[in-house]
Amino acid sequence: MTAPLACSVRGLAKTYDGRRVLSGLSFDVQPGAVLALLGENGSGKSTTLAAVAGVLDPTEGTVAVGDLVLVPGTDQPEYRRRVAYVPDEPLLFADLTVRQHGAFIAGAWEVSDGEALLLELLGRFGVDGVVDDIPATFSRGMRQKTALALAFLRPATLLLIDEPFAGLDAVGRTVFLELLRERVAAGGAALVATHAQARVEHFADVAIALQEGAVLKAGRPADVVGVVNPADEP
Amino acid sequence: MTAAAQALTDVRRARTKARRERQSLGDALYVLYVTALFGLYAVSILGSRATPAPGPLRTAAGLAEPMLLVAVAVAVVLARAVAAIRGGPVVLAPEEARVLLTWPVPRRLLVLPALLAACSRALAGAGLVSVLLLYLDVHDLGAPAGAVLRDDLLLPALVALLSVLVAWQVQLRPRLALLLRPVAGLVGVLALAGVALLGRELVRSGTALGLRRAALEGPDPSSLPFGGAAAGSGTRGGLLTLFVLLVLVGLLGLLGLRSSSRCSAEELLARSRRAEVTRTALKLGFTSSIYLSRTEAQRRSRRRRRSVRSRSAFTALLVKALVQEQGSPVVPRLVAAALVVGGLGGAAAHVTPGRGLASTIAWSLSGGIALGAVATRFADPIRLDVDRAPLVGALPVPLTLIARADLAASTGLFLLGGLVGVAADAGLGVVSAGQLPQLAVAALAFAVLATAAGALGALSDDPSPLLPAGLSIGYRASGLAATVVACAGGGLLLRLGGRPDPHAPGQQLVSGVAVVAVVAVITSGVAVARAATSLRRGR
Repeated sequence: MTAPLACSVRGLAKTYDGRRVLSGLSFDVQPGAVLALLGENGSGKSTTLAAVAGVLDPTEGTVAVGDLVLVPGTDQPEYRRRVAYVPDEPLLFADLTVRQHGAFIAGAWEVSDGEALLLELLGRFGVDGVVDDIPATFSRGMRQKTALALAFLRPATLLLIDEPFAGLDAVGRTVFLELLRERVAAGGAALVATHAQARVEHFADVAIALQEGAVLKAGRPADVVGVVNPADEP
Repeated sequence: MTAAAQALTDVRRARTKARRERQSLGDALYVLYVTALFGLYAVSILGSRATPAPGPLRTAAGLAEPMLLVAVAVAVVLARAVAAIRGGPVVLAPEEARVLLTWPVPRRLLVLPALLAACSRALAGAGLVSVLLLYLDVHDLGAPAGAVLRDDLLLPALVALLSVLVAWQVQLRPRLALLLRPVAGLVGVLALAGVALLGRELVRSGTALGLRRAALEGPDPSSLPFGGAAAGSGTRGGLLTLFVLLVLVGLLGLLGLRSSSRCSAEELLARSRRAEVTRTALKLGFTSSIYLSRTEAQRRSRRRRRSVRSRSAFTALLVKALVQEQGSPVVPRLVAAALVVGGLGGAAAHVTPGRGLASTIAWSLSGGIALGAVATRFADPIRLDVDRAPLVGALPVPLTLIARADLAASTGLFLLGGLVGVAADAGLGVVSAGQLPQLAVAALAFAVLATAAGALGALSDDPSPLLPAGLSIGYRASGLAATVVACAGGGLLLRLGGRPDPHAPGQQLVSGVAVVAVVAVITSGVAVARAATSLRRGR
């Protein structure tokens, strides 16, 4: 018997006010693999991540994480437990400290010794000094580091990260890639949407180029990078 | 309690603590100040309400009240249900929606508190209605308190709960609203016809007789809920209605509880965003429902849907001016203009303001709010910065010409609607043929006023220069001062006719038209001057 896929997307379509933003997207993410979504602005990368995260209802198609199929309009806390979602604008409370964020996330995802793990993650990103501060006062890069640390705090089997490099300095980028490799080595998987095509070969096993909500090309990162937006940030 | 539920409780406790720590005495005093001002306004309106004189008027008011309340109850339930297509009662706080909907927290733990909060707000509103009803029934209409207590306390509460629970079901299944819309439209048209006919009866037969006739031609008041004041005892209708409402509230409550885990995250997020738009718009002082309920994404989508495909620049200009990018369609704008001009004109021909200054201000403010609300619907299309609208690229004409066409079309549309309102007044017999020229002048003045308001709004990035005083409180002190002074001045001018005489209809019409015309001339003068300055600066 084969192990279930980390994520399986079949015929995913999304329409807003009669405008089709995703058209029958299909792909799989193997356990222990990273899939990179590439494409111009408006090509459907963020919509795909949001649909897989369960915060957008697909117009058509199915999404599954492991053996659990997402059913729109139903409550599936177990599905959300398997997913850690970091949209392009970090999801953080404006009135809670980083330590409080960590404690509550550890509680919700039932992480034992969550505080120590949070401090370790923040330390690797070099932001452990702000653990008792409120993220609303942080710079964009600091918020991104905090959001990524909180994402890796979750024992999710699938990471969904939109533009992970946005606002990150060199240390942040390196630490993110290290943490991603560690998570993948432990059997986790990730779906990463990015414009940073030059970095894709360093972390992704598979890449998909999207154009107007459809797959333009899929395959090894080396074959896909540059298919869309070749002038993207290196 | 599961770990996720415990985490949610901890998050909420910590956020409440943080919020309390952030609150300042200044903020609390400010809220108190705004509440007191709103309260004073409400008290001044209530204080100016005419107490029915003994005899026929008292009896007639007691007969008409139950029918009016039943109509209001039906309207509340229907309106909330239809409105739920763009925003139901369950609203998660924006941050909670964005963050917690991605957590493994059971959704009912997020939804049920929001549903309960909506029910609590509705019950609080129903409580105020109950107090008002009891005051009317016991103090004004002389009904024994025991006879009206049950209906006046329980029926508003049950209607309020029912409206929330029905709207929640529509929020879950937006297609239900599509079915309800025609029903609500039909009820609205019937209600409008009823109000128009009642107005005609009031004018033709005198206040008391008109009310009595309207009441007697309806169903037997003792069979209606809220009929205690008229019947002098508890009514069968009230008891039956209580039973039906209790059953409905119970069933819908159970359904609502079951549905609480089945709503989609996307819908909850969209609802939360709309509420955030509304809150921000209110804070900025916008009163147009466009800004209160539509996100920028929705407005963009609306613009896309209504792109101009025309063969000539003239046709394109006309279509662009009539088919608004953001505002209301043509027919609702016509109806709104007809209602404002017909309603205010008809009222000015017959109703005289109260004798106290407070009641004069209240009357004037009510008119100002009505006009302001309509004017903002006309103001939205008149954006001189239209170069950002995608359709303008298709028009090979200067932007100033586009703006002028918008202004001309809006004025024409308002004038046409106003004249329809005047014609309706004449057709219903509310005004005489001799008063028609005055009312036509009033329609023109209103049209100029609304358009000038729109132009001023476009120039100042404030789409509602005729902000109701209540919403401008604290945010635009000059707006508040100007509105109050203008309303008080207008109200006093309306009273120049001397001692109000209800048997001398029309005595306020000339001064009323004069007030509107003077305000329109001044406002349009200011708008023209500001537009000229703007054009010189090349904006």
